[in-house]
Amino acid sequence: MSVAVIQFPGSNCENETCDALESNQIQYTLVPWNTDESLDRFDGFILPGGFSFQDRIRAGVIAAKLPILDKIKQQSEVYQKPILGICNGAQILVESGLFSDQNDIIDFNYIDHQMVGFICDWGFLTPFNSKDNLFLKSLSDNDVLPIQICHGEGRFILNYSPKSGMKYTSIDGKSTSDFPITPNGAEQGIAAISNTNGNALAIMPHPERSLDSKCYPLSIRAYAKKHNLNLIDFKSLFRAFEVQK
Amino acid sequence: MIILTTLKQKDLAAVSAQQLFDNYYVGETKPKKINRYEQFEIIGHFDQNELLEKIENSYVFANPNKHHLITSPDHFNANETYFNVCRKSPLNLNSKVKSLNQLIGHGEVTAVHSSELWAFQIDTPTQVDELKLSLIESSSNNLAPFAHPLIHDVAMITFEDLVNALPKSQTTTN
Repeated sequence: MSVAVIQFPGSNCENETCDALESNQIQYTLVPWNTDESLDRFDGFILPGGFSFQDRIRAGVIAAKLPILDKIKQQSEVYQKPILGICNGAQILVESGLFSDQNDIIDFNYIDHQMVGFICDWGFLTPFNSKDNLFLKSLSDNDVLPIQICHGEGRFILNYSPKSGMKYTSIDGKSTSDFPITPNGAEQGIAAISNTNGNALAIMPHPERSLDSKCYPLSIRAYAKKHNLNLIDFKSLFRAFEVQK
Repeated sequence: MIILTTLKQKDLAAVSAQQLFDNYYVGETKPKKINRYEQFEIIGHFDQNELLEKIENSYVFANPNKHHLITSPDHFNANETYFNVCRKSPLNLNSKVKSLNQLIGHGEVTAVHSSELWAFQIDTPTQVDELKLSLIESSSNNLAPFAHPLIHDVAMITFEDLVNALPKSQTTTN
């Protein structure tokens, strides 16, 4: 099993993404955006977070138009290889049309007619229709997963209902699209979407930084302990690459 | 009232777009040159000349070391094709509204709507709709990066319309 972590000019989350793979004993290769080599030898792909091409014009749009995205889309369509886009990587995948041919976009964080700018905080996600996506399969729809949120443009705008994905939720598992549970104004409170085949996931918060309960803030750990909540970590998301082998 | 700004150094968004088309675009309408301008529409009741003078003497829209503040048609030419890309829900810049209201003596600025103006030099004469589909509005099978159909509206602007929209068009074109 070898996963290609695609590095664009301006990617800055590739190290923690590689660490997340390494902690699950999954081999990886950092692949530059302008490589000429075939992607056939890889069994899966991750597009990490950051600011590809300084987010010029619109976050992810320049990277989405590069030939390497055509190759990745081909690997998805022909071989159904697992593809994970995190943060800016999610924006690139969405802009490339891999999910729904431009019926979706990840836009500014925008709540009640106000742009809210950059958000760096912890939040919680819960999967929906988890069995329909390769990365979410081992989770159940009632699970609550703490996750680090870190984005200035992170609001999903969709004119369809995704087949599967993740929504923002409270620590008690109550989903709503209202602030502050959905911190960025995303439609339907969506934080991650799956493609139709279920082999790709675009997720805006950072699962690679939320692998271990030891990195959760004390307040979350204390609340979970007091109320006897079973919080789930994101290790299984990366293990999906190994399962797919 | 409409004013524009552009960077004195190369605009990297325009450079990236140019590189995208230079390297990967297959078609006759390949743009030879792309420029990007920020467009501000100032809405309210005020004395246009007074406000313009205050803006020119302030840093509200442009830092003279970094930006050109464009109030006359000098930066534009008839060989270029212009597209305005604005958000479907207008992007109102509240901080600029506050700054302008502090500057002016009479009247009130109620909104400052921000959008982008892209200028293209294209040799081959082409229909506007075709340009929008091939150069401007993103889809999964084109290279166009400038507007997303879910969040942006796109309008083509002729050189004449652009000149007429600028506050100092009369003085400089005569």
